[in-house]
Amino acid sequence: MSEAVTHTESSFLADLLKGDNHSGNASGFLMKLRNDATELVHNIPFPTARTEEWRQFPIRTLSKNTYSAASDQNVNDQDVSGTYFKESEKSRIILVNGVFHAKESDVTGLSDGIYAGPISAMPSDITEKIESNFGTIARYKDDAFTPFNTATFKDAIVIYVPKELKEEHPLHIVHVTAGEAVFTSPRTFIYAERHSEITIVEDYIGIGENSYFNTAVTETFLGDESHVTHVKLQRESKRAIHISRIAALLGRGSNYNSYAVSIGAHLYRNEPLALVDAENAHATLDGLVMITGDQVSDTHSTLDHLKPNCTSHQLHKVVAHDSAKSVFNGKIFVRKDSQLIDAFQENRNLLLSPEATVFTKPQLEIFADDVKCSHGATIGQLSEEELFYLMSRGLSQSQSTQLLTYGFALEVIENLPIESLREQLSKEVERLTVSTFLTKETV
Amino acid sequence: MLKIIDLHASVEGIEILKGINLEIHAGEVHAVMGPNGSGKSTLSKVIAGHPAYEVTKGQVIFEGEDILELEPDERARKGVFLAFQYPVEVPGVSNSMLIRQGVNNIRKERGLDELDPLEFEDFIQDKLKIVQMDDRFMDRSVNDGFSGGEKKRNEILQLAAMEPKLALMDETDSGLDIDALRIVSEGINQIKSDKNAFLLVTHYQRILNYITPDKVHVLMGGRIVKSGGKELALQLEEKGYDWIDAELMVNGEA
Repeated sequence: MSEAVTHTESSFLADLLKGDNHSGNASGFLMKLRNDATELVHNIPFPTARTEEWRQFPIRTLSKNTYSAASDQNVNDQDVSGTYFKESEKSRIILVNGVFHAKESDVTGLSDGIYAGPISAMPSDITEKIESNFGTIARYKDDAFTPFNTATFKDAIVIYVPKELKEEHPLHIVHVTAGEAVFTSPRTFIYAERHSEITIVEDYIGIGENSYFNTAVTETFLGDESHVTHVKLQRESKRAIHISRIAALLGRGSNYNSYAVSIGAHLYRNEPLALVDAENAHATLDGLVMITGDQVSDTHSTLDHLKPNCTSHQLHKVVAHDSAKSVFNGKIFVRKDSQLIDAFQENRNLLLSPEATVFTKPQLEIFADDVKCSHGATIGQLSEEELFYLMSRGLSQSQSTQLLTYGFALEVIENLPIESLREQLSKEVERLTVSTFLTKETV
Repeated sequence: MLKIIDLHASVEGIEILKGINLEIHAGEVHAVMGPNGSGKSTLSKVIAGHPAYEVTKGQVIFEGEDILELEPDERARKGVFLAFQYPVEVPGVSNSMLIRQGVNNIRKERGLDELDPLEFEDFIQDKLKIVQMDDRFMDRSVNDGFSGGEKKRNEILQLAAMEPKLALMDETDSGLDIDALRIVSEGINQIKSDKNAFLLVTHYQRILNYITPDKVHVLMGGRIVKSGGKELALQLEEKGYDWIDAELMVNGEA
């Protein structure tokens, strides 16, 4: 009996795959990718509670559920328009359950030469450019989720920025999930040619408070001297499970700024990966986690300095309330010949309730001898002195908590390149702290 | 306005205030002086409601109401203001956010309309002049990276904005150079009126060269051991605190 259960859990993704009749639908280079991925899903063991890298994540909560492949749905404008940024009026892509919605999308504001749309509609010259990289940047070891995504995604979105082009409008990609007990596999591929520049926000939302399961994979290829800013804004339904991979391969002198914002989902696992595989490149992997209730937000990041003369910055800030749980494992590798690396890593955690928990593990592995690397982690509460100071100015305890939490989160928020996004996140801080005090104070 | 009756307070089980009696009327400035560790700062913090201090006995009557059970923000909204000896740095929270929120809470309590950001900007301009501060200060994080003098001026700016009935100034003069001391003192003098009252907690007499107190109290060992007029401060400056000790011995009070 117990063996049967174990079997079901370990074949969780393979079982989902069987129920997905879309899988394998592809032509050309994708066909082989899909077939290989399907095989990997069957062969790679699904993590268990004893798998070291997954110890703090309640993986069984996922594997004991059943999900079916989500089908395309119509959504009302008012269900998604609350997420919109005025800066992206004509640079917005909407997907519902992994299906590209041409009617709701508008990318006419993007410069000529940029392609931003589903992989199936991509011009052949762009296919030629990206096919050798698509699927190869998300290099995760012993990972069944990335191949699962590869085997099951519907409309992968490709963003291609030609050389020398600096796009001033941020591209907003909204991945909408609608439906109960469904799974979707959002997939994005960003290809920035040399000297190009673009900002992309990937936004993950759910319609209604449904329970669903998403595996999202984003790969970014940065050509020489290109600048890509990528924001992952995870604000899924509070009952959803979201497993995420964000991988980037950096070219010479390129600049990759990745911001991962974690607000939604019941269980969230994010694995940012930056492969700094050329000289003079810079990678930022910042994170902001704001969780309440019984949410779990787990970030396992890898910053891999494979070449010398590079810099990296990782500031991961967490605000955890109620009995929420945050996990941070930040690996930084500096390979043997990667001299003159300047790497900064810091994880700061703010606990707003006695039941909130934080697990943090900054992890530096340095094999070169001439580098400058710093790392650290702090866990704290709001200080009594700060609270008293604000309250002595007539601010209530909840207003003070809100303002101090905002001040804490701002260090990440202020770096985000879109004003509307910063405003939305400020409101999110308000919700986070206010919702809390509704239970404690009589408002 | 303020009447303190037999106030006892302790921190972590150690009694700091051992029976304070003090009465302050509108329009008055009282100075509380005393050596280090006498309980001066504790007195101002207890009146403002600092959570680290436990009041074990006594009353603090403000405008006819015992405020000891009130939260610090409720006291502030009723018109008690504490200027901190060590103003707290609050990274990420701008001065204007803090002050506007505080001012609006207080205005609401007083039945006045709240100020929107534009109205607040006008409102704060006059207050900034009082402490000779640039309006760039409003966009900076509260006290974050401020010099000692800037922090104290920021306290006076907040005092000016909150328009309290009772201002508790906790060693506002400490750490100030002569110019900053003059600006801060002149600021206080501009804010001072016959409707409000000030309690200046200070170690030195020098701020009293700028702000004339109506009464001076000497706090030693958690009690007010001597009260007098402004000349008492000069005596203390000249002779230190030992002579009071000696005087108390003679009277058998120590």
